[in-house]
Amino acid sequence: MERSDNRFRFTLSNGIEALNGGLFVSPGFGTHPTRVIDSHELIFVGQGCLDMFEGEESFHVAANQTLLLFPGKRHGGALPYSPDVHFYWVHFRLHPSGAPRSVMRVPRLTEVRDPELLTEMFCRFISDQESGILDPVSAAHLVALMLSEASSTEREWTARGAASRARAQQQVPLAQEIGAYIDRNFRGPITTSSIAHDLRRSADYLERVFHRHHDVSILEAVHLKRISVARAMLRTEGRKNINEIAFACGYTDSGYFRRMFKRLTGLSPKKFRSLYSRMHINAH
Amino acid sequence: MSGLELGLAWSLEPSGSLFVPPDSCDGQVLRLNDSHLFVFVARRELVMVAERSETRVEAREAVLLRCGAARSVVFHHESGAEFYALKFRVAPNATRGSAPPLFIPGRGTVSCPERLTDLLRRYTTEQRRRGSTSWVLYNLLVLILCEFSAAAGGSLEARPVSSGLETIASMVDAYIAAHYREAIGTLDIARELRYSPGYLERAYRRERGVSVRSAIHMRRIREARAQLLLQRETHVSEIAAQCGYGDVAYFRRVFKRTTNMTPVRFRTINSGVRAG
Repeated sequence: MERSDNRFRFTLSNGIEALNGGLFVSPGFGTHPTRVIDSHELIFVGQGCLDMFEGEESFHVAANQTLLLFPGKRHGGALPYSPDVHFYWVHFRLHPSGAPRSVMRVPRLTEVRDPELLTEMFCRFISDQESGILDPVSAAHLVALMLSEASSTEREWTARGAASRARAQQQVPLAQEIGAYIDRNFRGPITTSSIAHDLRRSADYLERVFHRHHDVSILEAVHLKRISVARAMLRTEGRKNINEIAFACGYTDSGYFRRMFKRLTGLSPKKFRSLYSRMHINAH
Repeated sequence: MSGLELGLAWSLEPSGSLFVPPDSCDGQVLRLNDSHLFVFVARRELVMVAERSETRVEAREAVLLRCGAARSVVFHHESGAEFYALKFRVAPNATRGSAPPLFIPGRGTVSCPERLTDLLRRYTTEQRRRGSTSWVLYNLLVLILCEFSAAAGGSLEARPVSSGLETIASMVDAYIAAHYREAIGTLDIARELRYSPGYLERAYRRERGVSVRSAIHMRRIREARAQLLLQRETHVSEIAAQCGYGDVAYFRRVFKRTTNMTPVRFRTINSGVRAG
């Protein structure tokens, strides 16, 4: 790094060249064209499902899943577009230079851990691209983050002893059961003890198992789920006011909702909405 | 076919971050250990003390501190301030490949702070998450630097024509800076600038996010904090009077509310710091 007058000079490269991206909303008819392209493509289905083939393989990509397509291979729609499908896509090229310091594996087809985060990255990419402010460096690093969201599912297991890992593995179903319970019930009043009551276990035990697997307490997970849903609603449902969104996400007190939202996202619900609703409009 | 194996290389090494929420106490210290430091103030203002030099950073402003400029930084702020500090190094084996260099200003004001806050929060969350990789942090860091560079570069070269409200707020700021030692209030400023007090108040709050009254207090308390350390032998009531507070008890209350401690305590715990 060198400094000239007051400015800092960095050479920033991550071996990725981002091309263009977009949002495809199903017109209710038609099929994805069959073609061969000279770049990689990452597809992220936000709603509905998409049936694609590449070479000899076919893929059924459901909502919140990503599909990675390779250059030089023939791909296209295996079935006509389902009427409710919308998906984000981005093209990129790889230019590896020098010795890599680490390796990331991106599966062909995978379920995304945090779909709202990935959606927001696509919104930022597409919106900035449309308004002409997307610089190549930002674009490349945004694509890298998208790929890393599409790559990691089991990152929690690194650096853990084999014995505790084996014991922990047995508790996976219970941790997942708690997660599923939160997903079903977060819109209502929900506490650790109410979950414990419904799942017929002690609250302490549930808390320990859950924390071991998800690294957050059950209560935090409830808030994370609620705020994640609130982010999606603020982005897409412009007609609902903040109180209605708070209520729809399980908060009866909208002041409390605002505080939680600010704490977890750094922004007030209103500022978050103005940031992403603008991006949402541009994406269409 | 199993998927894509991506060889990862990165040229900046994230080395720790700090998020200071509005309710935290004054005087946090961050060791730099040969890292560069990026600081962004989301709310209120911040005074960074590094090697006896002070840098004032206002809301929506960011600074980039060069590695080696200081061994550690002390953050002084009033209560309610909110800011982010990220440390990073240039990776020793950074490839000086074909990528074009990016120029990042050492200081600048951001026109859309939400875009930056969104990325910064993601960065601090990601860093807390177990097993998150430096690759993810590196990519976020670059996005943050690019965002700052684009936003600040634009505002430095060609500051957009300021809105009417911004002009009013600047006039209020200028008036406060000139008269804060006197017994001034919102009504005096409104009369002087020929606006109705209600309109002036709304315009100022909209642009600066605080009331005129508290902007006056903030200016006075900032001065008081400096004077408390510069004039160590001077009685608190004398310093209160110098800063526009005739009533020393009232001064103590305001000081305590904004700084979370009494003037005397502030002076004691900062016994090693020299202001100015």
